[in-house]
Amino acid sequence: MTITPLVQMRGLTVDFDQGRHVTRALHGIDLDVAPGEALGLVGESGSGKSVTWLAALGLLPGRARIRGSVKLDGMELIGVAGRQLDAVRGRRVAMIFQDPSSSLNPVMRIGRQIGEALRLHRGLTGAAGEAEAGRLLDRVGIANARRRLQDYPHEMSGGMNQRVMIAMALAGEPDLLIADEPTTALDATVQAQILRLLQEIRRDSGMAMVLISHDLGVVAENVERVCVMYAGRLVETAAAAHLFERPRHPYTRGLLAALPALDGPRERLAAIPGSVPEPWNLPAGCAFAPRCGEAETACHHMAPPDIPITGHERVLCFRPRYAPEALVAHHRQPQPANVADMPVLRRTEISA
Amino acid sequence: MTVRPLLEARNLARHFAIRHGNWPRSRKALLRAVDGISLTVMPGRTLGLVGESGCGKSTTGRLLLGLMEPTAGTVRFDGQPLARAGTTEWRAQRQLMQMVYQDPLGALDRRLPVAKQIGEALEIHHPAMPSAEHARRVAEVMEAVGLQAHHGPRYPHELSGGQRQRVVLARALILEPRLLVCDEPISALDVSIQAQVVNLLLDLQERLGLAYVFISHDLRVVRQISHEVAVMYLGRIVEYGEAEALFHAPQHPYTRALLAAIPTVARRQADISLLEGDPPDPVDPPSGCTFRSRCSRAQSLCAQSVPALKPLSDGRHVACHFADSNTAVAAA
Amino acid sequence: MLFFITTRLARAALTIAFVVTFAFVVLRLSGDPAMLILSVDAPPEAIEAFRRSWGLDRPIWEQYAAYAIKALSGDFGNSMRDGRPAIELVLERVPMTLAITLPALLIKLFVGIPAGVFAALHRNSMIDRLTMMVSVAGFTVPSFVLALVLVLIFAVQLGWLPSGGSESWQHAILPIVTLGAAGAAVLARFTRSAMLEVLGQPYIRTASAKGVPWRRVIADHALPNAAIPTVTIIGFMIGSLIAGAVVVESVFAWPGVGRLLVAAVSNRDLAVVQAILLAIALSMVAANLVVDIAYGWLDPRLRRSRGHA
Repeated sequence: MTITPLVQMRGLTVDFDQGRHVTRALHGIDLDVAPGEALGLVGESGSGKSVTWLAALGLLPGRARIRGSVKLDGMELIGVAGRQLDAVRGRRVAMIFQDPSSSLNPVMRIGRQIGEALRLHRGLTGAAGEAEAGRLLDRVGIANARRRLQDYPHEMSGGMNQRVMIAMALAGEPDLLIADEPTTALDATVQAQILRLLQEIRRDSGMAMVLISHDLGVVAENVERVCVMYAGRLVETAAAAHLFERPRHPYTRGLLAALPALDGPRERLAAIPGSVPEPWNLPAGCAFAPRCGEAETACHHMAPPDIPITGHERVLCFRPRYAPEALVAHHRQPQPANVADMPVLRRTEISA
Repeated sequence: MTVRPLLEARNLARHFAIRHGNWPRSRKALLRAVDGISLTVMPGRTLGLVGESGCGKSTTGRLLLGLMEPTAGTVRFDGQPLARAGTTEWRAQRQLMQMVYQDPLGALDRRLPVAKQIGEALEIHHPAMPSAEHARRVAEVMEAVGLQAHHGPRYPHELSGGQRQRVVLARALILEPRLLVCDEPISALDVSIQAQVVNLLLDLQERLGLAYVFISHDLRVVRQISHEVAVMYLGRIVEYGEAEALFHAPQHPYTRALLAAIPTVARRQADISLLEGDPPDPVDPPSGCTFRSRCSRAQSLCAQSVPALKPLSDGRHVACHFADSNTAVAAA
Repeated sequence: MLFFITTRLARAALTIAFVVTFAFVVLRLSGDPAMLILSVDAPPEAIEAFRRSWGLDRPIWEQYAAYAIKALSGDFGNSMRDGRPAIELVLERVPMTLAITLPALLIKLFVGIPAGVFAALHRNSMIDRLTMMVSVAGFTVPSFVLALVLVLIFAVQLGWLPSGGSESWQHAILPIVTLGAAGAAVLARFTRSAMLEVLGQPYIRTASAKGVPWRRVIADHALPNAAIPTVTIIGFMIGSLIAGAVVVESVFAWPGVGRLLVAAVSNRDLAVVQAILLAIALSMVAANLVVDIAYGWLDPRLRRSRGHA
């Protein structure tokens, strides 16, 4: 059975033009989001998890060069005019960010900030707009909602501001919410509240969600499918249950092993050696190879194969675990698509 | 034989007089950032200090090092009271107790090569040290924290986040301290790098016999590194005890809520009870037990009197009027 | 609010008192007006009589006390040159100065701010670089040089405009342009950096992400935030409306307050210099007060929180 994806991303590439040289931040991302799905995007800083969605929505600064295709219900988003994107942003796809307090306009009352989205996407103004803004604030669990509409962001806590951001995102009744590290700046107890709120909203509205986080725990508890990113590539995609029980990619395994447990005996953490490569200084072959305990010669010289395990699960590795041997062997043959990727990489390095 | 505590704080408090708002006639108020806490750190052991932002854990860290004058209470280091800041005795004490901050880039001087910064404290405290000896000490400490010789001449911005945190550690270690107060030392680092630094801290403790006060909001890391843990809420310790027991069977409702709020890979979608709302305004905390406004089990007693930090049978201390019945609930 | 205003007024009064005292002392110590006004070879008796009549023979603190008491009742003394009340001399020059500084202020605001915003929005483009080049030139070249260049071009070479004087409205054009150009340059740079700072803020991205068209993002989200730091410099410009044109008035022989100041200083006409300095202090203090109030109006973070925060 195939569901028509809500979002279909193919070969999404982002280069940042830094005057003298060009840095590639995203190396061709293929990714689908099904309607109503909760997808997690995990990776360390610089892995490209935020850039992917900022690029898809045209929110990157002008020096970013974006190639590839992102389709929303069949409509192409890459390379279209800003006016067309304005009809998508906030209406079809909404986004919330890491630091809620600086993500809200400090000199505008929150009622007006929510009202702006209601006016743009649902034509609600005046009393109707205010009533709906109040209802949204109430929905995200803010007491005295109607009175709070008159507040400025600095009059609220970080957790409250993130609730306001969520209310603003809901104003357009979007099909997809991109939550970019929505709880990283918040305290543990408040983080749990916000994550629960997102769950409730998704359950009630049927909207899809992409949860971007560096915290595997946050992702594990809140999504159905997880994509792991490393150095601008998706290295593993799998159902959450599979990924955390049977991680295929060595990087995924490394991330899980590096995480201290909350119960059971205390053991020394198995840290991943080295550090994330700079985007302008990527190693040849697999970008993770220099830090990988299982790397072989090929890993250092050739781009790893992108092995589809099942319809929605794939892994980018020469030697994945828990993958059918025959499938791996088949994909270890040089793949034209991967070979074609190499010269691009080289060119970037030379110009760098 | 009993070992003498390395660091001992008794009824430590720090209050700030603040103004509510920017206007001249606005209400003056007292912020009790730290409100009477007592701690003990034994040589070679780690005390974890946890709590949410605004609970006073960073202020506590600064009070412990004498970087800030307490409003009340005393700190003794190795049996001696902390000397007045700026005096010779204070400098001698400060050699043995160092601070490591969260943001390594902010803590380092951007214009100096890192080896120079690591060795700077030696120049101040041991100006007569021969330069060969100086270089040897710098090289030793760099090696101890896993930095290579070629990192020495580099500037902070040329290093990765994990390497910078190692530089900060090396700088703190060069005077061979006996105590490090680490304030969120790994929060700014990537997950894969955090584990490296945690392991490094554990190795250094084993080799050098260092004691740590480890301040963090990340309970997973605190559990990994601490022997004892103190949980703070609005300037007070609500639970204090041996780490393993505290994490295994938290007694204070707040500790329990904190632990429940941590998302883990193992537990998926479990039905957990969450705390409602934000922590109260520290300037205007609830009467009695300050946690009662968010506590599901609060009763009228909690509004009337402040619960004292009382020992339980397992040696742990809990500040809750219903600590014993909490035990019963936890056991059930 | 009332308390806020009273403390501010008290502080302003203190500032003014300080300026007045400082000016008084410095002026008394810096030369003998009698010699200058009566010429050096006047008979000693005449000089002596002049000194006595203006009270210059008394100890300085007595002079100061007398001056301060009179000043409090609105009497700022008379000009030593023609005996008229100093304040009257100053006040009759104010309209002439405003006639060039007010239009210049409009140029600063309506050229400087849009240029800065435009440059920020097209950062690193040719237009941005050009704007900033002109702007750097505008505030590194001293205004008398700019004035002389303009005179050379428009008065001497082209003969379109008069080079000095105040007989007709054409005479005002070059002074206005000189003042306006320098101020617009400063304001453009300031606005540009304020705007760039704001455009990098997360809330700008939030506004775009919720589907606000870019023009509205600029107008509704970026400009109100960028206005906050810009207010300081605009306040300073308003504060210098009365006496900010000393150099330009001198170059163009424009009979305003600035030129009166230059004349009074070189004549040691103490009362007039004092009165002008007082006027400058007053207008600066008033402008500062306006800036403070504007801050509160533009930035809710500086307002009193309304109880339940």
